Amino acid sequence: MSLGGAAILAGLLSIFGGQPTTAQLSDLSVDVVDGRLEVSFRLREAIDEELIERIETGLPSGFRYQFKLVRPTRNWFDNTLITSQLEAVAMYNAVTREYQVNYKLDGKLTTSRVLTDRQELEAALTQFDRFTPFPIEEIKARKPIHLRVRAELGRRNLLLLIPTTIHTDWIESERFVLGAATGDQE
Amino acid sequence: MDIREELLRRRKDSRWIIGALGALLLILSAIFYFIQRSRDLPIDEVTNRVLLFVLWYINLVLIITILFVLLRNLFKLVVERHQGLFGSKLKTKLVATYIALALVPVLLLFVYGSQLLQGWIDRWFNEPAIKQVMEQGYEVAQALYVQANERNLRDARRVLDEIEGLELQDPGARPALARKLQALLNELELDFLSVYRDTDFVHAIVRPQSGIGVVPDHGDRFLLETLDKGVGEKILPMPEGQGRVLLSAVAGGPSGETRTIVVTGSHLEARLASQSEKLIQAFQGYRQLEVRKSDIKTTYRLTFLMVTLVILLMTSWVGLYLARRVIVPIEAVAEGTRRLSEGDLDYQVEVPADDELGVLVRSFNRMTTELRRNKEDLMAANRDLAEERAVIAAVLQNVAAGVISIDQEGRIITCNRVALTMLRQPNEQAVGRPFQELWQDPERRKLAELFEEDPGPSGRLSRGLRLFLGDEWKTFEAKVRTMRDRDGNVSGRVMVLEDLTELISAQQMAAWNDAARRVAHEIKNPLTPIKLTAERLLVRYRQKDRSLGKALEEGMETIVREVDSMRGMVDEFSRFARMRPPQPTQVDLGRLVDDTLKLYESLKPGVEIEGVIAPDARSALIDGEQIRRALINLLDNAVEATSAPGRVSVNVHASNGSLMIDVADTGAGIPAAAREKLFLPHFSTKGRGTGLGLSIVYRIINEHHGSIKVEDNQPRGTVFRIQLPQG
Repeated sequence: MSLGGAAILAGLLSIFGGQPTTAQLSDLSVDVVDGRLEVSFRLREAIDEELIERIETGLPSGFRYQFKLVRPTRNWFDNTLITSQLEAVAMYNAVTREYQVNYKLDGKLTTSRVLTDRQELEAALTQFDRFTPFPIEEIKARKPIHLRVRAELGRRNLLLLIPTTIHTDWIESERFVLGAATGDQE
Repeated sequence: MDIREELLRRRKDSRWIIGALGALLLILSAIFYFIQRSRDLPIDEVTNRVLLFVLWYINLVLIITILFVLLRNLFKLVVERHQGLFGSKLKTKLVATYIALALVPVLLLFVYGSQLLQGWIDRWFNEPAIKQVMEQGYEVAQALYVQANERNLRDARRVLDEIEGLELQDPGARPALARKLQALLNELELDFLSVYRDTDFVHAIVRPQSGIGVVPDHGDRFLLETLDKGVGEKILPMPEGQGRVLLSAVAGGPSGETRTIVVTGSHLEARLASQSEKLIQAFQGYRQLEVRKSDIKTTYRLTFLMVTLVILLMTSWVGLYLARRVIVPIEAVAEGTRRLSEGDLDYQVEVPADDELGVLVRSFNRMTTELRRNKEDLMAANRDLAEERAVIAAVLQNVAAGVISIDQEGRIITCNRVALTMLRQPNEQAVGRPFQELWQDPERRKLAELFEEDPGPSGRLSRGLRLFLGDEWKTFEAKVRTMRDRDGNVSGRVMVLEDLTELISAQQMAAWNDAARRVAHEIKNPLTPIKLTAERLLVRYRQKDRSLGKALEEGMETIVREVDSMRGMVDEFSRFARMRPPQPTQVDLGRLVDDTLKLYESLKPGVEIEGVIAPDARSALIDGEQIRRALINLLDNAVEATSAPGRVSVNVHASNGSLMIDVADTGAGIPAAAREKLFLPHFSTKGRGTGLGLSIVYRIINEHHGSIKVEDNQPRGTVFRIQLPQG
């Protein structure tokens, strides 16, 4: 595609598809503690007034985090060992003026919290500490592996017509070896 | 393609069309049903993420299908145009027209319809009355809670102030606390009042008339938040149909120490709670719609696009199908014309069509069939003509006569070998050359003059020619005839040459034999009486007969008479031999005929003599004396041959530029076998005379460049027809 064509397409997307997201994942750290994988990360600049408005209308809204445990392969596609998906969805009760935040791991409800404070709500949706995305007992991996995380922020209609999902980029943890001592990261 | 295949194909086509229309109807019905149902569907389902993606992927499949159909046909058109196939331009125009007819209205409808739909949705959401009612309802409902909360907080602070200083941790002070709280409950008309030290419960009172019944369980989290923020509020649901409890809490004392929390509560009756919550939920629902407005629009836009694409696909397909239905017969006919121009007359267009194109195809096939049949007939005719020409050529080359034909420009188009041999030009290339060029020498020039001579309206000309060719004289009879085409226009002339040299020589030999025999006979006839007379005179002389003198006298008379007869015969021969060439002068032919006929009037009783001279034939350029002699010879024979009652007539008239003299009698006629020798010298059917009469007639007429022939007279007798050039 020529530069002119790309510029026109970008212009159209910006007009009819909305601004590209500035949200990003950060502070990803992975620990293997007692045979469990504990993940911590932050999602920054993902909560805007549009999301808050959406939540406060009572619509279930939030983010979906995707996790991949990946074994890198030289000169070929990386080998995905296991995946999971965490949904953090907030719902606002306008009568009680409380936020209920539900966490579903691979579609199963794991935790539910009721919050009244907006800051708490934002933290509940974007900050995760020592979260275990999947069991790793049965994963055989002698070589260093790493974790990839991506957040699905919502949906956008390109050109007023084409539904697309908005993602952050994948981020990768540092490489680590399963079964290694806590903090034994590469 | 036979009829059965054609019927099967048409039936298959019909099934395709019916099937496609049925599918279109089904799809549109399903879409219409979905749109109708979507009015009743919850907004969550209408804006469902999966539904949006499903709709989009259906649209994507439809777009790809349409693009495939269009691009495939476009590619084929480009290839056909690049290859320069006949009809590709027409096909391009037709396909472009059909696609434009399908695309433009449908796309316009889509743009207009989607804009209209978007406008309706925007107008509905931007309706200020609706939004205002919703907001006011929400504010009223919230005000109910806010006011209750503010009053509860104020009361909680009052209670906190009232109980400040009481040793709450001392169980002994509890009764006083209970009394104090009861008094405050009554004074402040609270429905519920409780006191905590941090999260430790100290005392609680519920007004029995409040409807709350038992102490509400607000949980430690409420207390912890109150400790954290200094104030807290919570709305607790009551059992079904009992309304809600509005709790407010105030924490007293400095942070870091054990703090006292006072929780006050008021009961919101069920009906009021329900109504306020409905107002809040209604407003929330409205706000949800606003938030999801984009998704709603997208859902309906995608649905509308799907309908558009389905219609577009069907119209494009039908358009292309119709274009093909029109183009295929035209292409086939065009291919047929190309094959036809290359000479393939067996080509038949085998494309079924029912409409006017079918008529065109059938007409084309009939035309090629007719052309093929005509070509076959023509080829057969040409073969026959070639065979006929070969036969004619063979006949011409082998016929005894020479045949020469010329076209209108005088170029020789036919000249057989015999003609060239006759004319001593065996090695000449005659065909294609002008006859004047071929016959330039004085002798052959006579032939050229025959071609140049006007044959008159009859188109026929006949001449006897005597040419000195090589080292000998040759006698020919040349007959020239004008050739005419089918329309009667002169296309040339043909000359038939007959070499009469040997025939005439033989005839002359035979004639001279006959003449010698006849002369001998004629001489012998008078010699006999002369001999007998002489012998008788000799006998009488020897007998010394007294009548010798008389006998001598009689005998001498006989001898003289017979000698005179012989002299007369010799004189006639002498005249025939010495007959001079004709000296034509302008002669009154009518008078000549009348004078001649007068000689025979009343000559033979019972034989009528008559003459008819046409006014246009009274004058002629002839040798009057010779023609008179010819007439006398013919009339002598006619009168002699006619018995009484009978008639001898002379008819003179002009015909086609010639002078015709017919001498007819009602006599016994002339046998056919005798006619061939009739004009030869010394031939006679009478058994007497010199036999030179008709020979003289023939010679006179011939030297006048005329002709004479003998025919049967009707009803009986003989007619001699003389033709002389007039003028």
